[in-house]
Amino acid sequence: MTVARSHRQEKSSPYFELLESFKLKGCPVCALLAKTVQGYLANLLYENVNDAGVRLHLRQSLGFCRDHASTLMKNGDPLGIAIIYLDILQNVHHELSKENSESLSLRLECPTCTYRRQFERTYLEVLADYLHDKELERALDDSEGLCLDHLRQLVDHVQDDSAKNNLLSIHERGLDTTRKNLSEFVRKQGVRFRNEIVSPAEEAACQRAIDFLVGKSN
Amino acid sequence: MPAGNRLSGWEEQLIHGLIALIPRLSEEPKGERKERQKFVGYDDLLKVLREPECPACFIVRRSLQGFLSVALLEELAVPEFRERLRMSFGYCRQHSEYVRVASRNWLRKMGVAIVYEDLLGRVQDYMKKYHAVPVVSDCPLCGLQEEVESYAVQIIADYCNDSEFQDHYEASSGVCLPHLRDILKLLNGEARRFVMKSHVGKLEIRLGHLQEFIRKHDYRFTHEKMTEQEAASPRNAVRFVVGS
Repeated sequence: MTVARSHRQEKSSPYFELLESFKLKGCPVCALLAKTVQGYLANLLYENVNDAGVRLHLRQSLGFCRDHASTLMKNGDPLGIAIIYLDILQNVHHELSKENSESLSLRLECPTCTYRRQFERTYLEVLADYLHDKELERALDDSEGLCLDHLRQLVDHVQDDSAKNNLLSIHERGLDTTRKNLSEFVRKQGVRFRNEIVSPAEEAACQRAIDFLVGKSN
Repeated sequence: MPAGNRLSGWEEQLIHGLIALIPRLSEEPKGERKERQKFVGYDDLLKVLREPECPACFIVRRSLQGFLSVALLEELAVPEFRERLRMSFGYCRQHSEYVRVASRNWLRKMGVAIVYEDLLGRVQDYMKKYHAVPVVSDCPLCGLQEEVESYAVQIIADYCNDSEFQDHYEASSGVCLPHLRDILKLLNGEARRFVMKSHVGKLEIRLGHLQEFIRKHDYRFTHEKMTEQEAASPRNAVRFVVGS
């Protein structure tokens, strides 16, 4: 069976997740991480709100960072949120009642950030390992590419110069397209060109440029 | 600024103060900044206290939104700001959200398009020159936010000794936890005790709402009507902990 095993079967699940994610708009790693974070928070609210260890961690990290607190508020179950934050606020109330402001500071990192970072590393390692893979290369070429931060992390990780140059040239082409769309958008706002229709790509170019520079949150 | 969200006098003053501050921000090392002019007067601060959110967060948010709406229209007229933005390869993720919102207005969207076309060009040049990818760092709005934030915290702390202000503060929803930490660092004695005691009371109200929210989710009490404050209590608790 080992002899008959195809190369495709040897590829890990993150590889296929990435391949699928390249079909979406924006950075594929950001998209996967957003999904991972949402899954983590949903699971935490559903399964672990009463777990003593989780409670202790959340008390010390004062819940979640601003980004993940915002995700929690958008998608989370309000009852789970209420249980978690009741515990945190009770602790803050207890410390303030003792006139102790020292313990109002963060003592641990947001647990979602820690979890997210592990997945981020995995996805970037898989991308680096498969940069010469034809299927992935094609998917990358056809996609909107990575955001600046993930591109930088990946480029720093890749040792092979040809793979690095290929990666950079794919993204330079993507930048060319976005810049042209931005210029066209500006030109068509001029009095003489107002009659020209702004294409959907030109209309979306501002958001695309922002997404490229800072990625999607989560 | 969207209609109904017009800038008030202090906001306009603060924004122009921020614009004037930009060249100095790039020259002065951190921690060596000189005393700033005071923009928010006592009456303005009392108005801000009536808002249902942390007054320091409110001042910061309104100032940065206002600043950005001016900067996106007149960015070319503030070359120092534009240069700082080019050096940092754009805004950080948090402040890019302000740009996203501002760009919903078509006039500002044009400003965003001009600025970002230029920024992407800089990224391309960097990639070609160094065969590497630049980092977005030292966001110019972070520097301004730091200034406005320390200013807002300072004026609230300054007035905490005043008994009339204390009455207004007591009636407000108070500051968020990050700003509470900052204010407590600036206070001692009676004023510090007042702020702590006031927040103990405010927390008791928040805890009461959260407890009722949880209790009314129990199948035995689901028929009991949830008040508006109870329904909003999970969201308000998160906002208190991270700021709004």
